[in-house]
Amino acid sequence: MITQITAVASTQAKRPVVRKSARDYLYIIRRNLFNSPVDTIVTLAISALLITYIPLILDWLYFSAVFSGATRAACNPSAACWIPIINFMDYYIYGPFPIDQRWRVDTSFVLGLLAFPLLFSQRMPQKIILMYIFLLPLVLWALLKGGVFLSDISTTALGGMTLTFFLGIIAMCLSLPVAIILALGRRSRLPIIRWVCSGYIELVRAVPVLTFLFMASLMLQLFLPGGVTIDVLFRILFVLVFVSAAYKAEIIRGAIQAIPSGQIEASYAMGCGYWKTMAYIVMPQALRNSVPALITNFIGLFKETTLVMILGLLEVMGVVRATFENAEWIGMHVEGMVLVSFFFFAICFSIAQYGAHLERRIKRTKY
Amino acid sequence: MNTQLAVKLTGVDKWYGDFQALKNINLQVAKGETVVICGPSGSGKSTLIRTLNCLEGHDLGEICIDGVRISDNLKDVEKVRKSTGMVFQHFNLFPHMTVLDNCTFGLRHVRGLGVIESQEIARELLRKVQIADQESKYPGQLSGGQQQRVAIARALTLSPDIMLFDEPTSALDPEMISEVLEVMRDLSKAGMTMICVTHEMGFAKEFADRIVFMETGSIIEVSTPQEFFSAPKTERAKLFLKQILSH
Ligand SMILES: Nc1ncnc2c1ncn2[C@@H]1O[C@H](COP(=O)(O)OP(=O)(O)OP(=O)(O)O)[C@@H](O)[C@H]1O
Ligand SMILES: [Mg+2]
Repeated sequence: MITQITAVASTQAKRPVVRKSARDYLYIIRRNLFNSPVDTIVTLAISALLITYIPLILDWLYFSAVFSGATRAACNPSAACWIPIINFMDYYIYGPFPIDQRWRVDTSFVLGLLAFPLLFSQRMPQKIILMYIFLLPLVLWALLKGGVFLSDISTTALGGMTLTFFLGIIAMCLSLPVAIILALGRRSRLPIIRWVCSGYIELVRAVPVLTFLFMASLMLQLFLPGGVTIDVLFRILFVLVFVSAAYKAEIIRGAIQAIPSGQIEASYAMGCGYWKTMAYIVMPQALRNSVPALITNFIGLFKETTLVMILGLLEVMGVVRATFENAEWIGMHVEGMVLVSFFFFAICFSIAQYGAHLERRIKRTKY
Repeated sequence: MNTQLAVKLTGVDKWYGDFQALKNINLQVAKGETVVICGPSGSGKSTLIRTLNCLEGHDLGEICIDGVRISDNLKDVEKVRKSTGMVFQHFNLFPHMTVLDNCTFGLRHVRGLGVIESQEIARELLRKVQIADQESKYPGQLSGGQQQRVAIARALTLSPDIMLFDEPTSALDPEMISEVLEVMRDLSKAGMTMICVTHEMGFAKEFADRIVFMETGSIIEVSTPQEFFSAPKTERAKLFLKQILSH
């Protein structure tokens, strides 16, 4: 007997409360880690590796690392030197954004992060959440790029985490609705719509994103009447949204096809039209079923924003690299990349956690 | 009995590609009548019943439901679908909605009623099919018989003039068939116009006003239950009855 059962005496049988004792834990450890000679060797080898390397890594990152000082001379050559990172932190966050306008960036960070508790909340009516998600790109554009209520900010003044965040959030918010429309279009009964959507998806999937980004930055101008220019930021967003929408559309189309046609017929038989059937019967289920794949796609999209570096826009990776081209700090890329990794990890891991939360919530309704 | 016609089919033909699924179907169903359609597998029973609410289109002939002639016009399709309720073999409940939401769906999104009002109507009907205590469960948590009763309640929410049943009991375990038939009996007694595809000959004997026998896309016999069960006019119907009753 490895568990003790605390019986509950009552007239109606209740589920017994099971408590684990220290011996149970020992047993679990032995069973999982030292069950056979091979298990034991693997466990010991991995422990040895961890014991040797974790202190080394921690030492490099923190204990021997240098946090304050003014010049390179202050650094410890055998450990991380966080001086430039700390000195340039403002630049990494805001990029070249005008200093007196930084409240606009702060506000957009807050608005963007506010989406998370909203998405996690169970009580908030879905309509409000959807409204928020759809309005967010517009508000972010107005705040960071200006032009409507606030003064116009030139695209070259957007950089660092601000730019990454801006591109990532807007592309994520807009690509999902576009993807839903494409997915429905590919299953449309009207051949023209079906052909256009299929052709579009096939084309976009088969060409590298980078190519589209280059085309957006160079070629689009050729087709526009002279004098008309579209901000490069807008063009880049357009590419990010429409490319990732093609992938999402395929994910969603697969999920739509998995829905038994009988449900759609039942809805039609009640006199419900195509759009309402899609909105209330098909999409809620299809989107739920595609959560894991969509989350992966969102994470990929967020990381893809680093590609805009190629076009001379300094997103977070770009600004970090730029500091290490400075003569004083040249060649200290590792610390910079640690920071960038941490930044992306924090955001992408949060997105993944949201995905896990959604899956748990869907499982709980156990339909 | 009211002599007004609920359903009128004249010379209806339907093809699936080169395969003719319905051949020159003529049938009239009066208001308040219960008609049972039976026949061997593949004879076109489902196809016929599905043309009545435009889930399948027909190629030739005329179908009138409640005086509305079915055409390609979307308005007519909508009208016809609102005046008919359909119950399917595999229930086709919406699995992501609770029982109550399944039943309020049509009221809210087709009728445009408010939440409270729809819930009142839905609860009333759930009580009628004896399943009111399960309203907050999801369809996946119910037995087949319970699901089918919910499906009937859902179809009734829009107060249809005609109920269409396509083998409502053939996906059910034997002990659940009777609870669904019970509900159908009540409906029939209450004067609902019903067209049922079913192999439940007990139900047909007792409650059908007429029995329609189909084979290979044609109606080959229409008779009252007494005639049909005691002296079927066609050899094919005799054979069919022998097979089904020996079961
Ligand atoms: N979508 C379709 N495409 C092509 N043929 C079809 C289609 N649906 C049905 N059929 C054919 O039409 C004929 C009639 O089918 P139907 O489903 O109406 O038969 P049924 O009488 O309901 O049979 P069952 O008792 O097995 O349900 C069958 O031969 C079937 O193969
Ligand atoms: Mg059938």
